[in-house]
Amino acid sequence: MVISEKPTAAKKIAHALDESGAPQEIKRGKTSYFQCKRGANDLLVVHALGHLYELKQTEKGWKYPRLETEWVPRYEVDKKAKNVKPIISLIKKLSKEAEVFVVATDYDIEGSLIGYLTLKYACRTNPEDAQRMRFSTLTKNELQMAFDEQLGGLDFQMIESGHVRHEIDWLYGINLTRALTLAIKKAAGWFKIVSTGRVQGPTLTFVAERDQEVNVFVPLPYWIIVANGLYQGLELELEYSEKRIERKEKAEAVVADVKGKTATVQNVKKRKISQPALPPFNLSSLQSEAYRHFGFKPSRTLAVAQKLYLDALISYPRTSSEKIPESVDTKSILDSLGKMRNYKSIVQAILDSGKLVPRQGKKSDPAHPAIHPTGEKAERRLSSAEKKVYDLVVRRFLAAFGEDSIRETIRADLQCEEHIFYLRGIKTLKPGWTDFYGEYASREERELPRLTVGNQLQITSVENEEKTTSPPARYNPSSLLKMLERESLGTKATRSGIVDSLKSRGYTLNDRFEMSNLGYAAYETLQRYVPQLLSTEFTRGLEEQMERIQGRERSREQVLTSAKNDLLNLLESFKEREGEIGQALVAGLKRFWKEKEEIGPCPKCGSGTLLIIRSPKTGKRFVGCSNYRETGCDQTYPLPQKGSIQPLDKKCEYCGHPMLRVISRGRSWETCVNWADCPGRQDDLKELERRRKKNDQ
Amino acid sequence: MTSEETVPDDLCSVCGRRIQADLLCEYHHKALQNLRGAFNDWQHAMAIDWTTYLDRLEETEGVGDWVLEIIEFIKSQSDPSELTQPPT
Ligand SMILES: [Zn+2]
Repeated sequence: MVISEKPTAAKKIAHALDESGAPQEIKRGKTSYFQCKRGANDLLVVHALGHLYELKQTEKGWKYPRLETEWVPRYEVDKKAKNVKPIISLIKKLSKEAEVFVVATDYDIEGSLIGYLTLKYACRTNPEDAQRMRFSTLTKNELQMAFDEQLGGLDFQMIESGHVRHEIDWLYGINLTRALTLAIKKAAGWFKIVSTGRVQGPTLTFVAERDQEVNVFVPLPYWIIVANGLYQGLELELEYSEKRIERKEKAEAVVADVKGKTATVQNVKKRKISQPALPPFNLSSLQSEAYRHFGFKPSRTLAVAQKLYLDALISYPRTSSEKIPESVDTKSILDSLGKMRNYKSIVQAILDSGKLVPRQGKKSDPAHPAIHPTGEKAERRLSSAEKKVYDLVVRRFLAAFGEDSIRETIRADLQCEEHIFYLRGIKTLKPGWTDFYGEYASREERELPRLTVGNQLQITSVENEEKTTSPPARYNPSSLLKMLERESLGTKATRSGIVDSLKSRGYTLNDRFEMSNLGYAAYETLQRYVPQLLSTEFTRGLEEQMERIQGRERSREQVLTSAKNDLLNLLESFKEREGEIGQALVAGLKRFWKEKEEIGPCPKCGSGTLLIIRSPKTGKRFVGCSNYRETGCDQTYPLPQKGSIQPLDKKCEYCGHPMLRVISRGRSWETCVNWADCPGRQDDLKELERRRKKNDQ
Repeated sequence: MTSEETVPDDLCSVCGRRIQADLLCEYHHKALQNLRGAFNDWQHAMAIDWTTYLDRLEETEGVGDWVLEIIEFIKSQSDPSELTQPPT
C-alpha cells in the first residue's frame, strides 16, 4: 500500500508506478484508490486529505488549563471535515490486505507526520516497518526512482519534530484563546471568542509597534531643488547635491544664486557594476518576487505553487534551498523547456553558451532543492495566476544559467556659483542573465550625452519645491512574512497563514496592517498582564527547542514537558488576574464596537460580532453577523429604517440581547436588537403597528 | 437618563484609555510630545506660529491619526491650558 497526501498526488504516483502507465481507479462511495502492477508487486495507491487525524483534549470541558491530548479522526473535532471519514474507512479496510506500507506524502515535516499518523491509526501497523518514498517533483522518472532505488525507513526525527509542533501549537492556541475568552465572559457576561496562537503574539507586536510609529508621526518640512539645463540643444534634469534642504530661506537662496547662470562640468566619474545572476527561488524569495510583480499575498503564491507542484510542473515549493544539486538533470529540463514557444530562444542561448551549471545561492535545505521547473507540459489549462507563477519560476531558473550583467553608471559634477549639481546616467553594457529573466529584471536606462571637464550647461529653469517627510512604511503581507523569517518565528509552511490570521481574526483592518481597536484591545491587555506572549525571545526559544529535536539534541518529551510547564505558569498567573484582564479586554472591545457600529457578540455562533449592515441590493439596513462570509452564520435582526442607531453597553432585561438607542423624528427610545421577537416588547410592537396604520390613513 | 457621557478622571480625555501623563494615555501623550517637539523643527525651517502650524498639519499628508486627534482636542479646549500651548 502506497499512502499519498492528496488525491491529485495519488493519481500522479499511480500513473508513474503502474507498468502499463494505466492504473485502475476504483471508486468507493465518495472516495477512490488506484490498483497498479509493478514487477511482482500489486500496489494499492491510497490518499489522505492533508491531515486525517487531529489533536483533542482528553479531559472534558471548555476550560483551561487543558494540557493532555490524544489523536482522533479529524471529523471528531472539525465538523467541516466530514469528507475525511470515508477516506479513513477505506484505508482501514484496504490495509488489512496489505503486506508492505510505503509512505509517499510530501517529503517535509507535515507530510511525514501525516504518513506516520495514517500508518499508526488507520493502517494500525508499526511505522518502524514502513518504507518511505523521497521525492521533490511528481514527475514519472523521479517517482519511479524513489520507489525502485531509494526506499528507506521513515524519518522519525522529522516526525517527532512535526508531532511536537502540533502539540505545542495546540496547547498554546487552545489554552490562550480560552483564557482570553473566559476572562471576557466573567467580566461582562459576553461570549466573544478572542483567538490567539503561539506565534501570533510577536507578529501582533511587530504590527502594533509600527502602527504606533505611524499614528504618532509628525512630518517635517524640507525643500528640494528642481532644475533643468540645456546642453547642445538637449534638455537635461539636474540633481542638486544636497538632497533635502532643511530651511526655506536656504532653498530660496539657491534658486536666486543659480537662476539664469551657466554650470560647468568639473568632473566625470564612470563606474562598471557587474551583477551576478540571482540564485534560484526558495519559497520565501518566490513569495517576495510574486508580491512585487503580481501583488500576490504570500499565502496565495504558496497555494498556486502547490498546485503547480501537484501537476508535476515545478518541484516541491516548501523549500529553503537556493541550490540546484547535480542530481537534478538540468540538461533534460532545458531540452524540454526549449520545446515551449516562450522559452525556446532563451534555452537556445543557454545551450549555445555551453554553461550548463546554474548559479547556486547560499541557503540550503536538507530535504529539497531550490524551486525549479520540471520541463513537463501542463495537461490542463492553467489559470492566469498559475501561468504567472509558472513563468516566474521558469525564467528565474533560466536566469541562473546566465552570465553576469554589466552596467555602467556615470556621474558628472557641475558647479554653478558655489553650488554643485549632478547629472546621472546609467546604461547596460552586457545584459547577461537579465535577458533571460525578462521583464522581472529591473533595467532602468538613462542616456547621457558625452560630457568632458569644462563643458558648460545653461540653467533653463530652477525652482524650490516644499515637501514633508513620510511616516515609516506599514507592513505589507510580504514584508511581514520576511520579518517573521528574519526573527526565526514559525516555519516556511506556517508563516503565510500566520500573516493572514491577523486580518481574519479582526486584529488588523486591511492588507496594509492597520491595527483595529480589537487588535489594540488584545495587544494592550497582553502587554500589561502576560508580556511573554508578545515576546519574540520567548516564542523563538520554543522554536529553537523544537528544531533541536530534528537535530536529535533533545527528545520530544523533554521539549513538550518544558513547554507545558511554561504554559502552566503563564496560565496560573493569568488566572490570578483574570478579573482585571477581563475588564481591560472588555474596555477595549467596547471601543472597538463603538467605532465600527458593532453591537455585541453574536448569540448564535459565539465567535462573530453583530454589525449594522446595509444591503447592497435593497439599501435597507439590518443587523447581521460578521461571520456570515466565513462560516455562513446567518443570524440577522431587522432594524427600523429611519433615524440614527447607537449601540448601548447593556443588555435587554427580557431576552438578554444587546440594547440600542434609536433616534428618529425628534424622539429617542431604547430597544433591544431582538425587538421583533422579544417577549417583553410585543405590546410596544402592537402600539407601533397601531400608530403606523393611523398615520397611513 | 442623560445621553452626554463625561469621561472619568483616570481615563484619557481623547480616547478613554488609562492615563499615562498630562491627562492623556500613553499613545496620545506620545503624540502630543511629538507635536510639540516637531514645532521647533518647523520654526527652524520657516516662519510659522503655533496656530498656523496646527492648521497646516491638518492638511499635510502623513500626519498620524493620534496626532490629528490631539490637534482636534487642543482646538476644542475653550480656555487655554499649559497642555495646549506651544512649547516655550
Ligand atoms: Zn488616548
